[in-house]
Amino acid sequence: MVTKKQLKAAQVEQKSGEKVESAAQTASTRENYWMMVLLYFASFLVGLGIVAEVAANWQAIPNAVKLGGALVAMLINSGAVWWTMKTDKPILKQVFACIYAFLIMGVIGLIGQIYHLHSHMANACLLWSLISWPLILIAPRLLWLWTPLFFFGCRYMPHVMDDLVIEEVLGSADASQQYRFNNTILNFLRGYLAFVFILIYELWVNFDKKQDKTVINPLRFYSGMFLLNMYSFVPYFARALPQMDAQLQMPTFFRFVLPYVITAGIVYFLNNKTKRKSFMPLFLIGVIIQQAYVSLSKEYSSHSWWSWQEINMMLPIVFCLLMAIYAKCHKMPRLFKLSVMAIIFWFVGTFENHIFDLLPSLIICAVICLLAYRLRSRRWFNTGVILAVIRILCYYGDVENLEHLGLYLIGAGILIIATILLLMKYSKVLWEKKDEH
Amino acid sequence: MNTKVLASLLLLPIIVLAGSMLRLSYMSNFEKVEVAVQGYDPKDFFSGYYMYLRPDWEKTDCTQFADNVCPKDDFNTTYTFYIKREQSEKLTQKVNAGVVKLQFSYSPGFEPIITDLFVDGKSFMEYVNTQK
Repeated sequence: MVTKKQLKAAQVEQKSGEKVESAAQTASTRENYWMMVLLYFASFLVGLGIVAEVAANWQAIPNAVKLGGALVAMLINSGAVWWTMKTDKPILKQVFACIYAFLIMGVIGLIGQIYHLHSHMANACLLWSLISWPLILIAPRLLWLWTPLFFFGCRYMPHVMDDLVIEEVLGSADASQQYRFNNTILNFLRGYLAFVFILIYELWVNFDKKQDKTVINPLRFYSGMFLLNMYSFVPYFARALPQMDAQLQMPTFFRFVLPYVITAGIVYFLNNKTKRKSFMPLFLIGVIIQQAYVSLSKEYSSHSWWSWQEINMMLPIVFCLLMAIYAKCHKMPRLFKLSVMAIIFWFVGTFENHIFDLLPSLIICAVICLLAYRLRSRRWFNTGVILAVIRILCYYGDVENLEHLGLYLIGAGILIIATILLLMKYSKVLWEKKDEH
Repeated sequence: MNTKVLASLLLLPIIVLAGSMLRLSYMSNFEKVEVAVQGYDPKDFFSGYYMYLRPDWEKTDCTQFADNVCPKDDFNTTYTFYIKREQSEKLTQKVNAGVVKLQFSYSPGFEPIITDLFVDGKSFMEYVNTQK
């Protein structure tokens, strides 16, 4: 007969067993989370490579072959996603889904190129977001790519309205002066529209106490995304600034940072007052994505008032630092580590492409690996290895030609994916040996 | 959601883009017209290299259209012609010299589609081959 004590002991044992199992699961998920961030980065490189290959404009190949090849590539890629779904390979599924998302983008670009379609990039983004939404159901993390591009597609509307208003209302009399004046005002309004949305959202959350809590988290996500995309208007807003240069003696860097910092300040103040977490991290990540887009877009580099190096070098690090401080203050360890990792990547990645600059960055990677091994941190060990791979790739990455750049990016992405998959599979042996010691 | 439903949704982009290709290929087979152009060459990483070209209706032969009237409203004010980077400099010179024409596939009621670019009367590929 089983006594009560025995029953209790058995229950405790069962519970502790479950706890150990769930802890092990959590640990493996955490490790996968970091690896997933890097895998997405690698998939992003492969995707960017595909876009660059399309942009290289292979005139010698007949159009029918290019279009047929693009469709076949899409079929193969979608087949690969389906295969990973069927065989339950979650990591590869996300990698293939991410590459598929970029391939769709590349094929849209290819069609535009072959038929010489004259359309704003925002329209291509809108089409992409409409036809690629099933991928989000398969790989939900793609929402980070999908949402900004969807809103980027949508944001074209105000730009069109801008032109219509000016043409219809002002007519041709004194049009050039009035155009500039009104454009400045409209751009100002757009810039500050983000503040209005923040305030409406914050007031709504603060005063509506009966809200369904299950709605709030997704809402924060979308609000954050929406806000960051509202800020994609900043480059437009900035276009009006040369006219104000005479009045506003302010370096470019401050002019760009100031609206973000003021917005971040308002959000922080309101959230701090109500003691709750907010979409601030999303906002900051969004700003970084936005700045990366602005940095890559040559449209803005042709302006003489644009301080290219200043923006490229300083903005990412400022926002990574802001994000790290925010995460530390609000006890968000995962976000804090992600921010620190981003800072290290930035630090090592921005070394000059020179052999004597390659060596110190590789030494930094080796030190990270050794320290991580001693402290038994698999996550940082893996980061050190992948960082070294990326640094070596950066050294060889000074490619001018678009065809070669595309191939290089695809190769680099595949190499990083392979390194990560190998690390995930074989690093266990290394850590088991360490545990034996 | 059911895996099979999700898997079939993966075909959505392929169907939409294949449909778009068919539509554009149909629209490229209308009667061909040539329009004189002027323009410049912006560059963008995301789109590759292209030339922005504006139809120059004063230099265009309007007899190729119905009633000898150029249907300006059916055409956009600017068009994009994708090229390779190394071609941009010489082609800009040709555009400035006024010897470049865009060939469109045109039918009233449909959006005109660019089918070729003529430099000094040569099709774009012929021009590119003579440059090698």
